[in-house]
Amino acid sequence: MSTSTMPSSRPTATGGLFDARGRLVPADGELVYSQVDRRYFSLAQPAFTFPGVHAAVAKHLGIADLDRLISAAQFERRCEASRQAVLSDPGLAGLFRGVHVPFVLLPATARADIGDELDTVLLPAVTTSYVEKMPGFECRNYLQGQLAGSIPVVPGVRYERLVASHAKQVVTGWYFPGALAGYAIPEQRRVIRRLPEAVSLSGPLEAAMAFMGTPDILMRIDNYPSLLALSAVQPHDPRHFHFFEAYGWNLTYNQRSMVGAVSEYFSGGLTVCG
Amino acid sequence: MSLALEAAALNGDLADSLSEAEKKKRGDLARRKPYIAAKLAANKERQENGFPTPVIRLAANMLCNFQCDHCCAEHYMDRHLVKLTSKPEQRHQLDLNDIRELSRQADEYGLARFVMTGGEPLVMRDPSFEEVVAAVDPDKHYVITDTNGWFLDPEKARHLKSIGVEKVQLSLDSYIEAEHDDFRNKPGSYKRVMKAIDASFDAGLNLILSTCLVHARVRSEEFKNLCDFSKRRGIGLYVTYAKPVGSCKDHLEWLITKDDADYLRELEKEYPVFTHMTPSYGMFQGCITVKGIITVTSTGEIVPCPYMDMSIGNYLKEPLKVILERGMRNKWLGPHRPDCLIGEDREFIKFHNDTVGDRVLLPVPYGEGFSDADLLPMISLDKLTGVTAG
Repeated sequence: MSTSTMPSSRPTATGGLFDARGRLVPADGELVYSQVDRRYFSLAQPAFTFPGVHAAVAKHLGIADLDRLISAAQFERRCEASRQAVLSDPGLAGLFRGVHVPFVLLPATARADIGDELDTVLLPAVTTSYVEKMPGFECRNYLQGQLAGSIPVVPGVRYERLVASHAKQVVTGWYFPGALAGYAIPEQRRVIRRLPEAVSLSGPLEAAMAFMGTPDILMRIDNYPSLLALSAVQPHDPRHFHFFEAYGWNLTYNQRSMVGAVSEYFSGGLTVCG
Repeated sequence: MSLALEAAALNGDLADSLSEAEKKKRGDLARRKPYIAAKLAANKERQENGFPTPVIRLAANMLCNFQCDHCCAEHYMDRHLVKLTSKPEQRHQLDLNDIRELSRQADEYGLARFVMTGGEPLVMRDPSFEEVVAAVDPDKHYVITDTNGWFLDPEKARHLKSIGVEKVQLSLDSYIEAEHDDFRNKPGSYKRVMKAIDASFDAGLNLILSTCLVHARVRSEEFKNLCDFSKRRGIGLYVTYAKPVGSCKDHLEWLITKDDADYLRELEKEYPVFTHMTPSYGMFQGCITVKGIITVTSTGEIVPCPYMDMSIGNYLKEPLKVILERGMRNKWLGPHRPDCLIGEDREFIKFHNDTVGDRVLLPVPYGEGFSDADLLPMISLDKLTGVTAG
């Protein structure tokens, strides 16, 4: 992504759209748990290296010649360029004060259907990557065998762009899993409209790739991490949403109902490709 | 299986994932008490539509033959009030008509489970345990009883089964006899628990053990041995974290850490160990305040968790449905969360304990602790689906 493709965002009084922890500052009337996040449920920045993420993706997807699609150095250059583009935007720069995880999404895994790709390719690879990083613990897809054809993209949250690009080319970028902490799921889908075009709501494809490369995003010893909603897709049951969630030292992929009180524990993510 | 997991375990639409033993148990209940089985089977759908499906812990009165170090109910007992004020409880105490009305409202709202608690339920007087069970109506509600096991001999166990009690939750706080007896301040209580286990099985009662876990105990050999015992005997071990309330208020060192809780989550893979946050058949309920549990005190107050001393309303003054649905909007109690609010969230614990302070009469009434200021915006079912909730 180049700076020129990223419209400048509208800075707030504090000089940006995001707070000191990279959470989008709620506007008046938005459906959030609280204006200020007390960070009881929170994430910690996981350590990563671009060669490490690249190697993990190659290994767990079983793509021995990943370098022919994208090398670790190219991956890093693209992500760094994207980072600089975000940092140069006064409104968006604060995103990088929050947890940020690079991802690389490959056309080789693309299927006609997101659910099928998750079920048969991406989540199994997330599982092996997780278990390798956290021996003795589990990664479990509670929706195994149920995903194909079940999670269409939500219109208007800019996720179609990522899906379309993914089918044709290597997509790289950043996943910001804590950017919409405490936002109601429907509000996550609305709030994207007030953000610059470069930003999309996060969904399961790039989140899965982020976990594959950096499996310990939700690994916390002293605090509970947020549940990471994947709000760019909507299961057929309108009450449900999909998410990654820790269960102790284990990782799960599951769905639950969003009906009820807005939860402090749920966090939506934002994604910047580039 | 824990009380908290009863709903999940009895949901019909999860039948494919059930163990054979669980299917048999449900089938048996459906044959004997189809009305209750149908209500339990509807719980998952109700939960997904944003409605609470709590088990109702009913502390009809607060008599107890024990005086345990860690008791969260001691402050509700006459013996405590007499010490402080020279007088027993002066507030209106639930009578059988009040309990029948609670049962009616709960049934009307689709709730299906009552736990007799206290104090020690088996020493209830005026009304008696049998009268309370009858007033709850074991043909309309799945009835469980807490007990310290002291009086649960074979004859009593058969009697409980005969009056409609389905399940017993038996307290065992150490696998080391001397430690349990010391913790419970009752020599001989460990032996009585062991006998009560056999008596419950022989009478055909469902049974779980309940144990209170403090930080120092989590990784102890004793607790591991208790887990082994539970596995060997095929008894679910319901673990409650120590809470800094009641007699434990000044023992923050008893609280478990997140690391302890995660260690316990790992034990669930190997042993029949449960907390109220343990998922069952793919359902992650998290903290079950209001959503999966309430306690009704002897004064009709509804508290959202057995270990909280702040009310969300009194069903003698306003409908149970109104109280529960308000509780679901409370910022602490309603939203899904994976941890134990009163056992782990230090900010909430401080709010709770500062609010309760040195009050003599508990729980703190609605408006003086929990209040309308805590209410959150809701994501309503009808906005998502066009379906009218009800």
